Amino acid sequence: MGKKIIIDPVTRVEGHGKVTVLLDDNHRVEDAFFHIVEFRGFERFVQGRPYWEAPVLVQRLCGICPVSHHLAAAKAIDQIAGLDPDDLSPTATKLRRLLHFGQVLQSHALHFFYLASPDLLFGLDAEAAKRNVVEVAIANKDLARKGIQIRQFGQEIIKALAGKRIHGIMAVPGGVHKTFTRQERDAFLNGEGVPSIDNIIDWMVGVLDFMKKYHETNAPWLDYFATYPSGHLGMVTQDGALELYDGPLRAIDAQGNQTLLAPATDYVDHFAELVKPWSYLKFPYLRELGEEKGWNRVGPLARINVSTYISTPLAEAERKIFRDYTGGKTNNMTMHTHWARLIEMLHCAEAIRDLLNDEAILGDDLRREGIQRSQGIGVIEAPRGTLIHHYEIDDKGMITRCNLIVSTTHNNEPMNRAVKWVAQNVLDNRFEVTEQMLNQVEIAIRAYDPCLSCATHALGKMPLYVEVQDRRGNIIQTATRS
Amino acid sequence: MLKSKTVEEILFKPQPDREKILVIGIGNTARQDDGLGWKFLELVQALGIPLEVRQVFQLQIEDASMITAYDKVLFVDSHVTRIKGGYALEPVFPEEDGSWSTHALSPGSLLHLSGVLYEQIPEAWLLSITGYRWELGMPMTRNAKANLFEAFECVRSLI
Repeated sequence: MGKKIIIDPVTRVEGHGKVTVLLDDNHRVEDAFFHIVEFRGFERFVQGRPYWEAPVLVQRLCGICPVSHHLAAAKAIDQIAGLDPDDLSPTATKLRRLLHFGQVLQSHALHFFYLASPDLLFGLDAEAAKRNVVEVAIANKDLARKGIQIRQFGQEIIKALAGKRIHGIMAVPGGVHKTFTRQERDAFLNGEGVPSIDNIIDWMVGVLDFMKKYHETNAPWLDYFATYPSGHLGMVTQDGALELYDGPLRAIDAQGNQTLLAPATDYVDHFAELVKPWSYLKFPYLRELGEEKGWNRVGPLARINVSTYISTPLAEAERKIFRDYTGGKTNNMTMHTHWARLIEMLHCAEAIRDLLNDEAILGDDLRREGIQRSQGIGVIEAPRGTLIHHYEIDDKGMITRCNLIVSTTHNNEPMNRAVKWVAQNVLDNRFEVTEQMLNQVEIAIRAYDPCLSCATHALGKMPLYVEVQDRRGNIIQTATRS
Repeated sequence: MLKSKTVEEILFKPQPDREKILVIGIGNTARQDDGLGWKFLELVQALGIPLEVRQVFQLQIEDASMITAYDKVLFVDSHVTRIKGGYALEPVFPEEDGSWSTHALSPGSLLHLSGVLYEQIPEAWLLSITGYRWELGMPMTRNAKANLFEAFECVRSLI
């Protein structure tokens, strides 16, 4: 008798998801799905609102990465206000970049230290009671303390620029509304009330050393677990460097062959979105390659794969080590996403230091004006990957259409592939599905740091409910985890 | 709920020159009665009560570091259950909670984490105020406001 295993909801991700694994009569895996089962419809919510409100409204999509939505919307609204990215003043652009680096740093810190570290420190088979940050603090107090302080540093950068750690306002059409004072700047340079930026950089170098040593002794499972070939998508500079704020989009296939290099604002020409009946989350793919071959991972691993160098020296040195491990080939090892995330954190810290030392961030040329247009497209690399905001307006400036493709949507097919990998390699041919086995499904999903709240626009708190059904819908096994 | 005298003796008999007290308002004014915690802070500030305040959407792990700078902490949050009298003031004790997620770190879990990470746990209290509706962008309900004022007057009388 065939049966179905459901993991509902998935824990330690932002939002609410569910996993179903279908087994045939011989307990062999037939298929596996990662469902998104909630929907709030933010794209409809902003219709009819004035376009200049969008950067404020869309922040409510998420309490974890509101700055990314704020800036992606702001870039789109700049265009509606008649300004392309190069038209903004250097002060406005650099202040926005500073805000963005602070955001990526704090979001990555939250994920690595709070959500993923139990997976890394305690391994695949850890007891459920051990898989939380308190146990991490007990096992490695120094790591936990540094994680907290690195996240706080990023949050304080956001607070200084946007007024609040969450849902602050900094960008306005054509620029920013506030500059950085010398006193605010010096606090981050000198470590007044927060660690100094030099301390943050030193700590990140130390955390990367920890990660590399950890990998040396855990390579068998880190290299193997949920590894599968895929395309990779991310933003780069015009000369191919890692870029998080503005630049063309580049995609490569699993072997490293380039499959896309195009202005980010041309996304409509290159991407289509597939709808499947069992999920509210769409499946984006490159039109040129089709839905079977055109899907891509996004996020830290993808960005390191598609870029040819990093502009800051310490992060570049770490990128080379990371790249050398695969002999310069594309890295398709899912768990290496955590390693890539740390390299990006180091890059953010170095970039923050460089911007803090740039007198332009103290300037007063904050906002420029242009001639209004009927649509705007803003693309940014959010912590979790490529984020697209697209707005159209009527002649009164009211939003008539909004399309959002968030990072977790790009990662929809990759997360499904990861779930299938675990199903086929861990659950296949097992008559009893243990809690540790189910945790491995979650570890595979968690590597993508999915924000299901953003992707479907719902919030959730998540106990774990597991149900095993036969094909007629009869429940033959249940398990609950709070 | 504790008797007022006990609360006064333990928490609200502050010695401002020696003790630092923090009031943390938890919630979101964009979600109707979920904003009770923040509104409480507004009242504290509007009346010039000498307590430090901080508003948060949820308690996060980094708050474990922040609260160690204080001798006493009062958490104020809206509550979905109908509390007799509309509010409750209770002590909070460290509590190990394996079900932690970024959306739900309880005051007890936060104290536990402070103890684990920094070997410091401030005395802490939770003021729960009953709310009734939680819709996005809607005003606070009249009954929730009444509960807020009752709860605030209770705390103010103890200072």
